[in-house]
Amino acid sequence: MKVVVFEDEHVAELYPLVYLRPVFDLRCGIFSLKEKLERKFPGVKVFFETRDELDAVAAEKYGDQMVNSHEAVRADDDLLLVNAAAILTGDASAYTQRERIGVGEDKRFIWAFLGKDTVQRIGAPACIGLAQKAAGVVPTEKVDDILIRYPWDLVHHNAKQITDDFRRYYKPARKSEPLRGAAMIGPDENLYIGENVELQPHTWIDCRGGPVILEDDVVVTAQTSIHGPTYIGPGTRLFEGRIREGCSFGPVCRVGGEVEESIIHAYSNKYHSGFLGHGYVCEWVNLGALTTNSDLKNDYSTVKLTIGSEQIDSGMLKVGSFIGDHTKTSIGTLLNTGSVIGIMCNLVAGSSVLPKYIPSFCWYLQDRISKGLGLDYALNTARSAMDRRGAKLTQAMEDLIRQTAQMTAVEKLAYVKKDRKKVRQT
Amino acid sequence: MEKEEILERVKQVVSDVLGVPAEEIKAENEFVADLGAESIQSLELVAAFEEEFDIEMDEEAALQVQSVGDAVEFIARYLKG
Repeated sequence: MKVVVFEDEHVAELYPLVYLRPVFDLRCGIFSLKEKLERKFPGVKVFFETRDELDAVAAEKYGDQMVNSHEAVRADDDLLLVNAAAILTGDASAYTQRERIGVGEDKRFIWAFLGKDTVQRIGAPACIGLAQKAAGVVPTEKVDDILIRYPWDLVHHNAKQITDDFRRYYKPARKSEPLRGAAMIGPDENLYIGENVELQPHTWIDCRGGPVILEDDVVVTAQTSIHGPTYIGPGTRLFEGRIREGCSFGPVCRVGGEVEESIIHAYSNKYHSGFLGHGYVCEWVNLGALTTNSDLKNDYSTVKLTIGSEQIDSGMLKVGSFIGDHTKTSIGTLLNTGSVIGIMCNLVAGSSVLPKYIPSFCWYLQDRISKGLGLDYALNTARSAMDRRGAKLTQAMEDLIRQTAQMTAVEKLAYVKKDRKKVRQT
Repeated sequence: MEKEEILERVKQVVSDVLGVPAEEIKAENEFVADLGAESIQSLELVAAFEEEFDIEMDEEAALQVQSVGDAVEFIARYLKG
C-alpha cells in the first residue's frame, strides 16, 4: 500500500498559516499532520501533492521524488488517499479494511482507500481528480476523523492531540535528572524528559491534567511552571514562563511570560512577559516584550475572524491570534480577540489594540496599516533572524516568499489605502 | 503640475510630518541628515506624499527618495506618466 497526502481546494481557509508550508506541515499535538500519518503507517511510502507554488520548497524538504510525483497515483499498489488537513484518529487497520471514502459532516473528503484495480480502472493524473472519480465507484460514509478546516481548529484540538500522540507513540521516561529544587506533581506515566534537559531549581511541572513532554536539549529556567498536557520541542528554552495546559512549542523556540492553549512553530520567540492564549504562531516570529493577545471577548460572545474576504464565526468563545511566518511585533503590542496577521508583517504598538486583520507584508505603524520598507528589506530581516540560529533562507523559500508577495499585493494595497482614508477622516 | 507647485506641496507635507517650518525647508535637504527624520517617519512621509498627490510609491523605489528634491523628482516623473 502507499499513502498519498494531498491539498484540496480549501487551502485558502488556512491562510496565513499555509502561505509558506503545505497544509500537512501544520502542527497539532506533538507532531505535524504529516508526521502523525507517517507514524500511523510506518514503513509505508508516503507521497505528497501540494499547490504548484510550494513544489520547490516541499521537494527541498521531502525529496522531489515524493512531492507532486506521477508515481503517487500510478496504479501499482493499493492507495490510501488522505486530505492534507486530516488527522486520522483510528488505528491504522481501520482505514484499509475495505474500499471506501470517508467524509466529514459537511461531506468534505477526508480519506479514501482504493484497491490497486480500482486505481487502475478510474485513473487520474492527480489526487483531487482521483478522489472525485472514486466517489462514483466506491461507497462513501461519514467518519469521525478530524478535518482541520480553519486555523482555530488546530488550537481547539491541540490538548487532546498531545495526550493521544503521547499515549500512542511515547513511553514515559526520565533521561535527564532535574536539578535539585525542581518539583513535579502527577503520575509518572504522564512525564517524558528527554536527553540533556536542564530543569532548574524552582521549576514546577504539573502533569495531573495530562502528559508533559520535554524533548532533548530543552532548558527550563527557574520560576517556570508547566501544566500538562503540554509539549516542549527539542532545543526550546523556557524563561520564567507560566506554561498552561494545551501548549505545543518548537523546536528551538524561546518562550517566556504566560502562554495557554497555543501552538508555536519552530524558531519563534516570545521571550518576555505578555500573554499568548489560544493562538497559533508560525516560524521565525518574534513577539516583542509585553505583546499580549486577547482570547476572550468582554461580552463572552463567539469570536469572528477574517479569513480571506470573509468574516467567519468560529462558534467558539476562546480564540486568540493567528500569526504568519516571519512577522515581528514591537514591545507592548496588543492583539485583539481573533486576530489574523499575515506573513512578514512588522507591527508596532499603537494607541489601542491593533486591527483584527492585517494582510501579509504590511507594517502597522502609528495606528495605521502601511506599506513598509519593501520586500528586499523584509527578506534581509528574515536572513538576519535565521542567521542568529544558524539557519539559511534557501532560494526556493525566497522565491516562494516573492511569489506570495505578488499574490497578496492587491489585498495589501487595499488595506493600506483603506487605513489612509480612515486617518484622513479623523 | 509644475515642479514649483510640487515642491511647495512637498515642503508642506514634510513640515506637517516632521514638524519643521515649511519656510525653512529647501530642495536639497535630506529627510534624515538635515531635517531630523527618524526611520519610522520616512514611512510616514511616503504615505503622506501618496495621500497628497494621490499616487502609489513602490516600496523599493520609495527607499531611494532620501531628500525633498528626490521626492519632487519622483512625484513629477510619476505624474508625467
